[in-house]
Amino acid sequence: MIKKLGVLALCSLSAQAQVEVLADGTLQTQACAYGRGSTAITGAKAQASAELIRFLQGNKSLTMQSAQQQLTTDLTDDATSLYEQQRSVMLEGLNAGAVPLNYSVPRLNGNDTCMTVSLNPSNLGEPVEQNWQQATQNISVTVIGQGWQKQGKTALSNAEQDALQRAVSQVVGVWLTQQHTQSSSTSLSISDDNESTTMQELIGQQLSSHSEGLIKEWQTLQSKQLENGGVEITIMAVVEKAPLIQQASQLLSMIGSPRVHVIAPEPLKTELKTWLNEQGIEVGAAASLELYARSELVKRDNNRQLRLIVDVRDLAGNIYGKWQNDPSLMALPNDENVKTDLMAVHLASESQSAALHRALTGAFTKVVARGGLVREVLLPSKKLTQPEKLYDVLSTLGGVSDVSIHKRSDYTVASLRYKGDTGEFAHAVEQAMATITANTLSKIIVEDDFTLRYQ
Amino acid sequence: MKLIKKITLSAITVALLAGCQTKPGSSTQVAKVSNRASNAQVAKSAYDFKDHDITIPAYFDTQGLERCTFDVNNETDSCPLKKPIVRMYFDLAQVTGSGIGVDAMREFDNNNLLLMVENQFAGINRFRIITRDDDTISKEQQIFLQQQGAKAAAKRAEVKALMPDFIVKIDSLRTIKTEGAYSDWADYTLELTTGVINPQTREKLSHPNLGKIRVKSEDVRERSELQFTRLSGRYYTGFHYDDSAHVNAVFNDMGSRGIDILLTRMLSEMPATAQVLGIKGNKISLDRGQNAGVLPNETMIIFSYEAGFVEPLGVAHVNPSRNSANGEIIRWKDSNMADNVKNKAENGIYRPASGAKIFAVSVGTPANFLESRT
Repeated sequence: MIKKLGVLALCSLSAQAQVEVLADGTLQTQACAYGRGSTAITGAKAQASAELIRFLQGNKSLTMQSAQQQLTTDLTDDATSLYEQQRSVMLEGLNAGAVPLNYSVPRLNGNDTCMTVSLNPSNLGEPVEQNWQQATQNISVTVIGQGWQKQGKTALSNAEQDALQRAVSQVVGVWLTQQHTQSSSTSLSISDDNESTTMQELIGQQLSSHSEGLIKEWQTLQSKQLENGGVEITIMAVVEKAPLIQQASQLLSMIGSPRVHVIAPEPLKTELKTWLNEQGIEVGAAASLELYARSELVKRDNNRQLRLIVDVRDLAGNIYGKWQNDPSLMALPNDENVKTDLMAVHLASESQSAALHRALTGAFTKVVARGGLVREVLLPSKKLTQPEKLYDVLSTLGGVSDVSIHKRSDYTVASLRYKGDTGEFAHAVEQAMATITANTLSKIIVEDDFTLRYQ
Repeated sequence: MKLIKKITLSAITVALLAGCQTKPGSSTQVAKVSNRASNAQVAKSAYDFKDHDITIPAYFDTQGLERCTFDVNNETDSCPLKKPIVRMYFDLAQVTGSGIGVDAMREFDNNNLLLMVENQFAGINRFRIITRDDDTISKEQQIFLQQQGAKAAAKRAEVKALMPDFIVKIDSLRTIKTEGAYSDWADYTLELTTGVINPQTREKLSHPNLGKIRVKSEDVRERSELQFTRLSGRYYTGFHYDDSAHVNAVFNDMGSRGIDILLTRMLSEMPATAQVLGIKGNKISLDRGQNAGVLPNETMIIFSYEAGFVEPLGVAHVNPSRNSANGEIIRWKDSNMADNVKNKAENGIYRPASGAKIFAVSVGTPANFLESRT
């Protein structure tokens, strides 16, 4: 068949490519475009994709098509039913350029460059494969959401909310995964499903709860009742790509934005700093987060093992993540270089350093998950005209959470979390405070990323 | 008259009853608890066997070879070739109290005795032993690190040590006795017992039961060598009973002897068993060799096994190769069954019929083991 098509392609520039259906339901076609190089390759790809769309539009049933094509291969029932399930998704996906296509190596064929392009319906539903290279604006995904009645909201609206969050989360997940796969310098562990899923879900949830503008449109495909009055709905949602990328980038940079003070013995310090640098995290002494590492030698008769403990903490003492090495990795005879030697081996160990990086990624993700960094706002107690309102005022600020208020000598101290940088926060506080403080209150002074003080 | 009759009858009855009483049955007898030094027991050479010597030793293990994967790290539990992984401990009980020569017994380095036990036990291939020679291993790791660099060392270090199934602990007890009048002599005793412990459940296993081994100083030194003279309550001349180096030298020899005896008991307690694949004339071919702990010059009893009954056929002298062994039947048992097999084997290769199997089981420590391996 391919051979035949190849001959056809030779004859004409706009050769009438045909779609072949393989036994596992894979749709395969060949397309050629005149010329050489990337332009021709792109042309061939586009042509093949268009051919696949035409095929899908025209044929609702794969068996019918295979009969028409007089294929020698026997389609399995699974492949046929899979095709029927996925047809609409494939169609939309192809139109949007968000469906994974397998491209063969380009072949030269006379003046043309030819490519074989295949589409396997069983690969769908794996959003990781979505092609973000294409300049599409919208991504459509089909997701299932579940909801139960609570807090005055109906089960259906909770289910819809859940489904929409999942839709955004899925799209963000793909985007994040691709961002990280493309950038080799970052080591957000894609291979570790749990870690990256947490991150994707987290950012997805934040995005979907923050901005409804991300979902362009959606429609319910199916709904069914669950036990305990719950509802499960299947929706197809169209997620807009541009604002998503913009906002996700901001969220990522939020993880990267806090400065980190590294307190560690060498050569662990260099290793940690290098990693932070690769993640785009600034290192400095005046920082709101501390990466605190300590090492100790463990005596084992005449030999020594090394114990390393690294934790990520903020200035308020919250610990976001902790890593401990496996001291049993190696024991060396006790001499003056034993600590350096052991540390070198531990850091050179792939499993150990992977575990360290995983723990650090988890810790920084947790900072975002908890609602940003902890800050303290110090107000002179006597200048607070309406101290009882301080809590409410601060709580209503966008991006603020976990507010708590206590007294420290002459100051009323508000401890809270804020998603965003300190300058932005200072500005927001300054505006909010005007209503509940005396006129004589000074300007807010940013002492460091942790402490903001009024005089 | 009547009364006399009654009395007479009663008396006769009593006498009869008394006559019926016999001596009560007994299945036990009084025995003396031995305090003598233990000795090594080794197998007789197959050439020295007489017909009545050809009997089946205890603890043969004939089954389950078909379940073996022959992958040393992934062997199934039911495979008879699977050797338990053990870590060994040698514990020398602390000596407390005071007395002549007691102080010198306190300082004793049992680490080297432990390594000796490990080496000897590894050689008989009944266990897989995780060494506790940490110093040598860490030294090697240091040299490896110097020569190959941190990356290679880290990669190597990812491979973890074996996990022990059991721990084998040798417990010991040391005593000293001095006797004599003008001139004293020291009489040291070392008692060893071995426990196999499941470290998770803390269960001490019943098998292998190596019993107690008692080594006396007179087994390793002439009594005259341990003679000493004291003057005004202080050492004057003769054996340095108050010097730990001299005392330890004696204990090391005693420990070493104890380990030798331990080994021979282990070999009797855990004999090597193999299946006879075929008999050609007097030659036999076995399906296991070094891998099942068959040692050179092994004396093995050949027996047929059918429906749970065993029938000795003869005694063979066997030498192992890595995964199989070959031997020669030196003496056939004087029995119909043995004659039958012998006749068939003389006319070609005899292979046991289905249902019956022929096995070989080692008698104990090979006759020349103590000379060549200890």
